[in-house]
Amino acid sequence: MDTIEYSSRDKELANKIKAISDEAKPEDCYTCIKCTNGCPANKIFEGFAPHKIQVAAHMGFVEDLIESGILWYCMNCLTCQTRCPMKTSPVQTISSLTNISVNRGIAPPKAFTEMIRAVKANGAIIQPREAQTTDFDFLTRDDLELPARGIKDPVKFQEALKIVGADQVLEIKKAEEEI
Amino acid sequence: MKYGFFTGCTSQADSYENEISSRVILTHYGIDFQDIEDQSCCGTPIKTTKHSMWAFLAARVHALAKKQGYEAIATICNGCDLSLSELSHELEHHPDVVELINEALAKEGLHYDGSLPVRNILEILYEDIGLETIEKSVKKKLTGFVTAAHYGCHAIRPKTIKRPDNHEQPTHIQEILEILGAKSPVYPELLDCCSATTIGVDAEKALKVSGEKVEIMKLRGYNSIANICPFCHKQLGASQDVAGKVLGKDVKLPAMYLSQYIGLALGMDEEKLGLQFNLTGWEELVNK
Repeated sequence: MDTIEYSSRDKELANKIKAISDEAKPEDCYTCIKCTNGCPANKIFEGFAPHKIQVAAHMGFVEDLIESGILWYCMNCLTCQTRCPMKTSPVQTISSLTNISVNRGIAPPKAFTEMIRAVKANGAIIQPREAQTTDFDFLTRDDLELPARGIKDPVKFQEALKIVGADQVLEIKKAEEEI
Repeated sequence: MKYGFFTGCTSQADSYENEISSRVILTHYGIDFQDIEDQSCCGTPIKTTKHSMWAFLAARVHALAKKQGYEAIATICNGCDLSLSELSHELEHHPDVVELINEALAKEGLHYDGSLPVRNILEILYEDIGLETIEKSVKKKLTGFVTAAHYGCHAIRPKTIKRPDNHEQPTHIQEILEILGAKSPVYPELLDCCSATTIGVDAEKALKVSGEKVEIMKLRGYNSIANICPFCHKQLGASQDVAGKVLGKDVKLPAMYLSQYIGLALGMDEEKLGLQFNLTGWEELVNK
C-alpha cells in the first residue's frame, strides 16, 4: 500500500503524454522558470505558467488544470521549448494535455471544434471567400484567376478523418448541444 | 528542384495578397513550382485538439506531393511550414501513429512513407534565390522605408528541427529588406508573438497583444511592417482597426508581405502584387 494516497492523481499520465510527445518530458523540469519568463501567455493570462504545468504534469495532478480550461490559452509560440536548459517542452506537455482532455470527452473551445467541422466539410479551416480591396470591390479566387480549391473525393476524405478521430471531437460538441 | 506549391487555408481563403505576390515573385526568379493538387489543411490548427488528425493532415500533403512527383514542398505560411517540417521528427518513435494515418490515407489511395523537404518562402528567397540575385534585380530602391520585420514564431522555432532562420537572432527578412533599399533595424520586441493562435480563445486579449506590438513599432519610428506568415499578417495588419479599438489607440501602420516589398523594388505593378488587398494605408509610403 502506498504511504500517501491522492484521489485525483493520474498515475498513468506520464505514459499518456509520452504516447503523444517524446519531447514534453515534464519529469526533467527543475523549475528554473526560464520558460515562464519568456511566455507571452503568462503576461496576459493570470495563472498561466508553463513551469507549473510541467510540475503538475510530472506529479500527475492535472485535473484542475484540465477543468479550468487554462491550457487552451497557450499561444504555441514554442519559446518555452526553445529556451529550456533541460530540453523539455512545456508546450508539448500543454498540447498533450489538451489532447488528453478532448480524448476524455471534454469539449475544446468552440473555435477548435469549428475548424475540425470546416476541414471535414471542405478540407480547410476557412473556405475561400470574397476579400475586400482598397477600391471597395469584393473579389473571389475565380475573379483573380487563382486555382480552385477543395477536396476531390469528400466522401473518402471524411472516411479517413473518422479513422483519425475527427468525429470523436464533433460528437462531443453534439452531446453538449443536446444538453 | 521541382516544388509542390502549398498555399494553406488562410492564404487560399482570403489573404489573397500573400498567394498572389508569392506566385509572382517565385515565377520572376525562375523557381520551378506547381500547385499540389487536391491539397487540404496542413493540420496545424488541429494539433492541440486531435494529434492523430494533425498527423494525418500533414502526412496527406506529403503523400500527395510525392505521388505527384515533386521533390520538395514550398510553403507561404509559417504554420503550414512547421507542421509539414516537424511531422517526420514527431512520428519518429510512434510507429502506431504512422500505421493509423496510413490506414486513413489508404481510403484515398495515398501512403505516407516519409516526408519531402519543406521550404518556407523565406528560405527560397534567401537560400535558393539569394541576396546577390535579388540585389541585381532591384530597379526602384525602397528609399524612405523604415520597416519592422516580423518573423513569426514558427519560422524560427523550435530549435530541435531545422527552421528558416535562427531561433533567437533571425536576420534574413531584415537582410532582404536592406538589399531592397529599406532600413530594417532590429528592435527589442522583434521576437514577440502575434498571438494569432489565441484569437479563437480570447479575441480581445489576443488583439491587445498584437495591437501593442504595432504600437511599439510606431513608437520606435518604423513606418511599415514586413510579414511572411498570413496568420501574423492578419493579426498585425488586417486586424489593426479592431486592435486599435480594443486599445483605444491608433495602431495603423502599413503592413505588407516580404514578397510584396520585393515586387515593389522590382518595379512591379501594385495590383500584380495584390496590394489592393492590403487595407493598412500603404499608398502614401509606396507612392512617395
